[in-house]
Amino acid sequence: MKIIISNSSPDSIYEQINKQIKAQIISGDLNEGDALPSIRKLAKELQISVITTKRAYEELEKEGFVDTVGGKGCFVAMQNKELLKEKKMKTIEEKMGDTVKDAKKLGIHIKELKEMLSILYDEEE
Amino acid sequence: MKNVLDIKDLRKDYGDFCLRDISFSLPEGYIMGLIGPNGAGKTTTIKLIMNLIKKNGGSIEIFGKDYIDHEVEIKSKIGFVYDNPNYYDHLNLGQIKNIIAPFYRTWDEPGFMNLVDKFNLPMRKVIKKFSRGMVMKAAIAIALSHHADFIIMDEPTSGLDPVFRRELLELLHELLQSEKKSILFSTHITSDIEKIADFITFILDGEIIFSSRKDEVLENYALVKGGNEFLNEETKQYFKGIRKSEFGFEALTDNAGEMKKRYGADVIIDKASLEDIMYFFNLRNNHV
Amino acid sequence: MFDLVKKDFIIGGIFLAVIAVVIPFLTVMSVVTMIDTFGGLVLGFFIPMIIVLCVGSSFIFIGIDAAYNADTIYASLPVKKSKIIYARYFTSFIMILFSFTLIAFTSLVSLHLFHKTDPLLMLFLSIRGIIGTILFLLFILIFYLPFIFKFGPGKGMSVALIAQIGLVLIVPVGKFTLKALQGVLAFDLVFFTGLFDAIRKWVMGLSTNGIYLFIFTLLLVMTLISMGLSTRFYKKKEI
Repeated sequence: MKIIISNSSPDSIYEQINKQIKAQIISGDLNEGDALPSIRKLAKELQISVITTKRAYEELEKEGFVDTVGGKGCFVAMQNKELLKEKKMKTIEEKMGDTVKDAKKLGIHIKELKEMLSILYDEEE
Repeated sequence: MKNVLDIKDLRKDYGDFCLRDISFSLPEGYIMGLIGPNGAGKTTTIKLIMNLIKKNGGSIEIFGKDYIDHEVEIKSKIGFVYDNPNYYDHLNLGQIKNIIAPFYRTWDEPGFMNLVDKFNLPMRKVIKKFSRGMVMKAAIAIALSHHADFIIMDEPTSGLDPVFRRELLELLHELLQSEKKSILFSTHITSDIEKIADFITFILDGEIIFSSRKDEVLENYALVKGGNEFLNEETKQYFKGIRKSEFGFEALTDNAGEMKKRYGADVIIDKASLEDIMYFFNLRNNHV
Repeated sequence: MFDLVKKDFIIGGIFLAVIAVVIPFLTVMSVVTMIDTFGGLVLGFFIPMIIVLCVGSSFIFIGIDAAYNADTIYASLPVKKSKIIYARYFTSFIMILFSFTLIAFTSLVSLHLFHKTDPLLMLFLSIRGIIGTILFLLFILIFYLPFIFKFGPGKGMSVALIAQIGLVLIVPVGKFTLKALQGVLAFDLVFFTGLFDAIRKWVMGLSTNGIYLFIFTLLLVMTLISMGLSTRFYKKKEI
């Protein structure tokens, strides 16, 4: 597991941990059933406070990404990859919906839109 | 969650200086930074906790027990470091250890020698020849060598170089791997404690300004900077301490969220460090 | 408690060697060699010398602790304040016994070495003399210690000294006041003088062993009172 904290990030420390762990779960670097380091170990390794790591884990649990097994620690929860993919798909759909609306307002044709999309997609590579 | 330390309405009168209404608690397994400028009352508070001076009012409970009724039992589980450790100058560290160790049933000799080695302390040199930093290290080594459940340190890092200070914090962090160990650490060098503290208690002029989770403090407090024309009766309410210059002002707010919402467009809002917080509250109290 | 006693000797180190051994040794030797010069032991010099050397050496540890502010160390250790006091008394008692033994031994040895005799010195060194002197020194010790715990070693000794003089003066001053009051309050002085006489007769009437028993008991009681006071003063101290 990889966590890098930036002091200049607008996100607070627990938010950064939260986001990075989430990203690794989604990308598959962390698999279902994997054990997360204890809050105290993580705090020590990152040289931050225990309460901060505790909060990050609590948020992850609330959002359904991890499960705490009493006395044993935190483990990556099952199924959420699918859930997350669905969530992400939904977000992309919504964004596309907005783009289509705006395009229509400006009178841009669907062919032009497809071209723009291709160019952007190729750029991203 | 049990509290390792419970202080309620603690009070100490010194004539020209008065420590009053001191109330805060430290849950077991965490580290609390006691911060404040010199003379604020940090050392007095710690001396009261250790019963080196007598309180004039209030109550102190350690490990859930009254701190005087169970003084000996409690002290056997406390590792304590003075801000100015006093040892017999004419003795060496080995002899000092031989004097102190027998009082602790849980004395950990290999652990002590390990620390002595790690801190590079000579066992045969007389204390008179130790530098201030070395005396501090010796005191810390002794405090951490009897499996104490509660470590109390009064300005342990003053006189120590930043490298050792970092190492000390790592050591304390290592200790905290056990959920049963707690640490109270008083300092005016807030950068030491800013990262690893779980809780912060801020004392100024004998009173507690706040005692909360460090994360909350750093989220709620912020530095607000803007042009002097921004300051009026309404806006001043948000600030604890304002510093005006010819070219603009700088102030501390304890409500960063509100500030952002209302005036986000008019001013610059920056993260406040513990040092900033100390500085501005002191400004407010003492109109420097 | 014995850790507290043991630590005193670790701390004492070189001070002990010099103050409790070398100085008495040399002093006694020189006094004995001077016996002939003065035509006999000068009691007026010898007695104060014993008192100063013995009681002084018993205060070494207290002095060292005060000089190094050692109270701060003990205050953070898991040890009862009363135990600290008891250990102090114990160490001081030991030091008095040790110092006196050293002085007695040195005296005997020097008398032998320099081929001198002195009836007064021999009286001192008889069993009765030794026991009597030690008891006397212990009384002085337990009188001084509470003052030292209340005021610290330097100030404590001065206050104790003044108090000592005050005590000595109590009897004549008391008698004087009572006499003066007799006229004013139509007091019957006879009652008090009768009481004193009765006590004195009883004490004199005791056999020699009885007297020793009486003094031992008195010493014991006063030691307990002294320790109690010292503990109370020490507990109240702020560090």
